Amino acid sequence: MRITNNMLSRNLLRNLENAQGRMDILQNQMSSGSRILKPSDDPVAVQNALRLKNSISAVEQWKNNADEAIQYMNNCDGVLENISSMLQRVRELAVQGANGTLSAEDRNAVSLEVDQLQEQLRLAANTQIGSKYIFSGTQTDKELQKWDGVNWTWQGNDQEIRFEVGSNVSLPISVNGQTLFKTPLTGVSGMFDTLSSLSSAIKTNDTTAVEDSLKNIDGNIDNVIAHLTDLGARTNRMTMLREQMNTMSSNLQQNLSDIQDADIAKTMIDFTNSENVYKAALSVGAKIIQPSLVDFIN
Amino acid sequence: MPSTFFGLEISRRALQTQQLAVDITGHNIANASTVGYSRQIADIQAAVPWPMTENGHSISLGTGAVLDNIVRARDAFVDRQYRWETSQQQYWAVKQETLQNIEGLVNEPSDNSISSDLSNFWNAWSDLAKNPDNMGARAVVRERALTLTDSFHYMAQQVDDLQKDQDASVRVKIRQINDDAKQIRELNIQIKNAEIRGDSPNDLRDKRDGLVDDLANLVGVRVTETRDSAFSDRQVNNYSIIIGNDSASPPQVLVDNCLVNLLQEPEAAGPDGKPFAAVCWAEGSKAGAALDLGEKKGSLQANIEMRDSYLPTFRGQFDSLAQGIARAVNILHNTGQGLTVSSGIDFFTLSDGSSPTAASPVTAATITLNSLIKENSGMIVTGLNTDDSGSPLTEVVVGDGRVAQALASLASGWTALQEQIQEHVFDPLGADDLNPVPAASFGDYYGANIAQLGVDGQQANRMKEGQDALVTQISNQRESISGVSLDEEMTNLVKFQKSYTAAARMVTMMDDMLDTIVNGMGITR
Repeated sequence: MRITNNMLSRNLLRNLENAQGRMDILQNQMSSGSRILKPSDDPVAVQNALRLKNSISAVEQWKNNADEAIQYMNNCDGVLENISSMLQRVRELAVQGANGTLSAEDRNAVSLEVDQLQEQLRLAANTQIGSKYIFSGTQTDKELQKWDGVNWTWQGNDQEIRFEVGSNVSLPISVNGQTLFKTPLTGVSGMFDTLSSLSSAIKTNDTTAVEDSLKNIDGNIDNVIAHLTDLGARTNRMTMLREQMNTMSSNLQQNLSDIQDADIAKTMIDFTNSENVYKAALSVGAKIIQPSLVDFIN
Repeated sequence: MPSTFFGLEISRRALQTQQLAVDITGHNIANASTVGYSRQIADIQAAVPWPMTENGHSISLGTGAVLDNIVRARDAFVDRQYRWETSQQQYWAVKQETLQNIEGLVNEPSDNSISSDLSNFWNAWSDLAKNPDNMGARAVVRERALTLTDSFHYMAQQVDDLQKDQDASVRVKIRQINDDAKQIRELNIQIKNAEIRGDSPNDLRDKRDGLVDDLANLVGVRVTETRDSAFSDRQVNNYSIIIGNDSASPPQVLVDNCLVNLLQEPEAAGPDGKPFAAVCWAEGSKAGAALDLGEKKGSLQANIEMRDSYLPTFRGQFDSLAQGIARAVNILHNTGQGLTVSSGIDFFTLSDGSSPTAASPVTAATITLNSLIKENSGMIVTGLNTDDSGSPLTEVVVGDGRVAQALASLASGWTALQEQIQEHVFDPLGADDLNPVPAASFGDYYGANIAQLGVDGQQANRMKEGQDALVTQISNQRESISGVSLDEEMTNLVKFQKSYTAAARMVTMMDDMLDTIVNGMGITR
């Protein structure tokens, strides 16, 4: 083949461009830390990466939701514990009141404490977390117990508040205020009714009524404990779900990294290789471009 | 016997011939780096011998050398291969360039793309579902929705602009083809005139070949050069160029000798109703007919394909995505109420604020957040607007996040939602079929489209790379035949110079000989 000067310089230029192009690609990969910079670099990997990113984003969101749910349920748990201990105190007072030997003043004092506890329980029923009334179902802007100037009235509904913690998985995180305070187990009257009748029964020294109230108080205590157990079970489940999601999230991150991250060591070595090629091409170029027969003829 | 001065005549011819050869070498050296230049070779032939009769028979006595012709080192077959391959190379080059533009546009994979805008949008709904009465969470949903619609608008706008760029390229290229055709015709006339005179106009031919090379970048070309039968005693050629599909009938002749058929670019509605330039013949037997471009040849065709099919399809995918999102979100959004009792409103509307319908769905360019929501994020629907028995609510239930939750769950698909709709948990009026896009989820649909773009880009890259290699190889082959090698020219220069010196020496010697005859012969002392 006949070789001309133009051919030499053009081939040299093309090879230099190729070497530089390779260096550019590797440099981009190194500086971005990513193997895939545009869809055409690896279409299948890009599609997988997009899917993984969507999944990661969803799992992170569910993790946030679960964290918030756990916090919320822990707060509810505290309130329920509080209610339970108040009822225990009411029970002690009822037992005292059932003892017919108390003086009228003592009975008055006991009845007063029961009234105070009832007030306290109403406050508990209207507990807010943030701006939400936690026992009002989904009517979170309404307190469960409302004083209309004459009577206490009930508000709220028995709808669950559910948090989404998975693909089509949503768990109830709320405690039903209606079944907790208003309509406990069958045959047991509501918490506030029980306390009101207890208070007046102690005042009037009606021991049979006090005995009845005692039964209702036990029923209410059982009811609160049942709600606590239920809440605890759900909290456990939520905690487990969050742990699962932690694992899932790190697995997904790992997969994404496997797909799209550049192998730094390999990229580095490849880069050094192309750099050497480039340098070699440059030095050879400097040698072949210059001399021709022109330089040797006088 | 030849004349006494015959030797001088041979020397004169030799001097003249070598001098011309040196000039030709000089011309080559001067054009060593001229694009499209073919090196020229002095075709030195022995002159017609002089027959003399000696000893009763005829002897041909050599009469020296003459410059018979100046030949151009060129291979028509390599030219044809070169044009064939550059046509394809340029086709893929434009495809590659446009696809790279689109890839830059979608900006995937990154954290700044429609994909991430979508994720953020669904996550905002999930946050709102937890706190439906929280104005902050509502504002976030509104802002995410605005970001998403802005991204869709940007994408539609950019694809439109790309389409316009392609159209501008088409127009420029048609003019370029016409210009080239006119210049080739001029050269045809000049070359033919020269050929009739017996000349071989090498540099004009180089110029014409260069123009045809340019033309091959734009469209597929086929050159036919046949001998003109009107001139039997000398080489006079007819030169014609067919462009586009070379098997079209009647043939699509751009230039035929001194005739030229130009193209025109009438504005016509393209496949998606936009006024784009059509490519038609303006003159000749095919006047008015569209130019048949054939198979994947030339950058013009790539521009037209991108403009008329690829980009509209690409934008169509974003239109479907926008349409699907708007449809699914609206169906669910209409089943609920926000911070005020309402019978449900659209979340997304057309750009004029009207409700999207099956007949006039939203597109990527027109998807818009409902202006009521834009002004008051309390209008964002979070809960159902019916109670458990299905009768409408009279009072807002602010803590109900079921609709927001359903919207958030669209992120991972709609199979479960579909069941809930069939069980009448959500009771969308008149529409119980979600299935907004043909995929398992919006993310999957989008991902598949991006992967398709990647596959197309990869194909263009590979084809371009392959064509580059072929063109390089053929260019080298062409350069090997036609290129100027300085070493060779210097060698020739030395050769011709020495021949010239030798011929001059011959003159001196002849002078000596004549001196002997004129001054030395017949003189006695």
